[in-house]
Amino acid sequence: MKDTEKVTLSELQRVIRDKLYEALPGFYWVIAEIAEMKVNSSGHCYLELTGCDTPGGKVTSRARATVWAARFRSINASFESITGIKLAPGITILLKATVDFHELYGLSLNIADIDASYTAGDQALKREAVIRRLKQEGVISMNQELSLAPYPRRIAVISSPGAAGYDDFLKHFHGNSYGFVFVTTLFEAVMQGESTESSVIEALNRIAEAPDNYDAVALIRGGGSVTDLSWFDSYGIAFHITQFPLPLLTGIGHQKDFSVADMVSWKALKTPTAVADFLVSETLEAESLVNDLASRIASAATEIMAGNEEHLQSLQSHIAGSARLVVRVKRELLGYSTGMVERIAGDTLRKSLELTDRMAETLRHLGPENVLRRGFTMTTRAGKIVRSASELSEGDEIMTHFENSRAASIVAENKEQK
Amino acid sequence: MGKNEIGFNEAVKSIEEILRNIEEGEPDIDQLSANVKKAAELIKICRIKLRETEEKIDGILKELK
Repeated sequence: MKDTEKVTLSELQRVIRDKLYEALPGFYWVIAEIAEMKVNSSGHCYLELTGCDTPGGKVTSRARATVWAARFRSINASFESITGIKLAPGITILLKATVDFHELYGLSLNIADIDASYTAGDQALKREAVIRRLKQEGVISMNQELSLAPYPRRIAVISSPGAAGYDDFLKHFHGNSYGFVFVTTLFEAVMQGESTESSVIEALNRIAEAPDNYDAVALIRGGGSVTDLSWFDSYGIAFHITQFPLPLLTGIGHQKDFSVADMVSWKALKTPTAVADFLVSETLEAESLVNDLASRIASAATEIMAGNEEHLQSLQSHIAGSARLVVRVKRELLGYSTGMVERIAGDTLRKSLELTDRMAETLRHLGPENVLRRGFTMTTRAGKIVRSASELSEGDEIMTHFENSRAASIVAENKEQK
Repeated sequence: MGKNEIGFNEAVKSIEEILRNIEEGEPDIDQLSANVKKAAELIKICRIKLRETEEKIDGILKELK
């Protein structure tokens, strides 16, 4: 074509198409990341593919691609069954395509097949790389080192609000059969697709603004397909979980799946309801522990009281007994003393009596009757005893007393005996 | 506990002291009734304290149930 020749755009496009087909015949195996993907009502799948020169680096190439409906159904099903994930933005694929050019729509890749095993391996490698990195950074078990409050009551929930899993979680949690009261706060997040990472991290950051308001975080996602789990193999989510100040419990997987987020979480449960049941059972355990402590305190207190009561009772009876004993001993001593006094007094009295008797006897012997009987006489004058002749004068009338009689006389002569 | 109020343990110690005096010491009959009276007063104080404590404990434990 000469440079002065004019062509229509259609003519140019046709030239490009022909040259392109000529230059790029047959199939190419291409590695690319799905940037955008939509399936229209006819079942045709339209993709925006990107490529980077270094893994995870800046996007350096971009192209449109199409999987026609007839192929897409089988490719999609086989991809999901092999990789366990759905074709979605953010996934790297190995695709088999012809280079197609349409005058109206331009260049696009017409995808004939997708090698799912490449993506499976790629996902596994990425996952391994994330785990290795977390280990190297020494953060992988950091969330697990936190301790869960004994009574986890205020739970920050990260979930998509409309999810069936979230409803189940709330139902199990608030309808627990023990009547425990929990406070849940929802932090909305996208739980699948390529914005999962940024959305979950953003939710975590919002919770981390006031970590004291919560006892734990529940990251839950239920009712979705097995396939979306790979979003939780993201380094960003995992790293944020490891650095989170509160224990984070996951309920995002299914029976056989275990994401990196599960791996680094404080505890990974299979489903949202399992998270709710776990928190309820933790609370139940805390309650029974408290009940046990309460009854031990009660019985210890009762025992102490009983011991004191008993000791006091024993002291009281000892005091009473001892005091009575002292009184009895004293009384006995007193009784003994009294006896002694009585005996001594009696003896003394008896001796005195005997002495008096003896004295009386003596006196009796010395009495005038006895003297008169023995032949002595007693002389009186005018009724008075005469003890000496000097008391008498001649001519005095005197009376001589015998034992049983008397005789009157006149003093004829008074001669004082010399 | 008030400033001049005797504590339970202190009271028990005093009661034991009195008992020891009565049992082992030279019993002084003039002191005996005074001692027994003192001991009885202390026992009464201890009883009251025990009852009060018991009531308090019961109250507290009731709240736990």
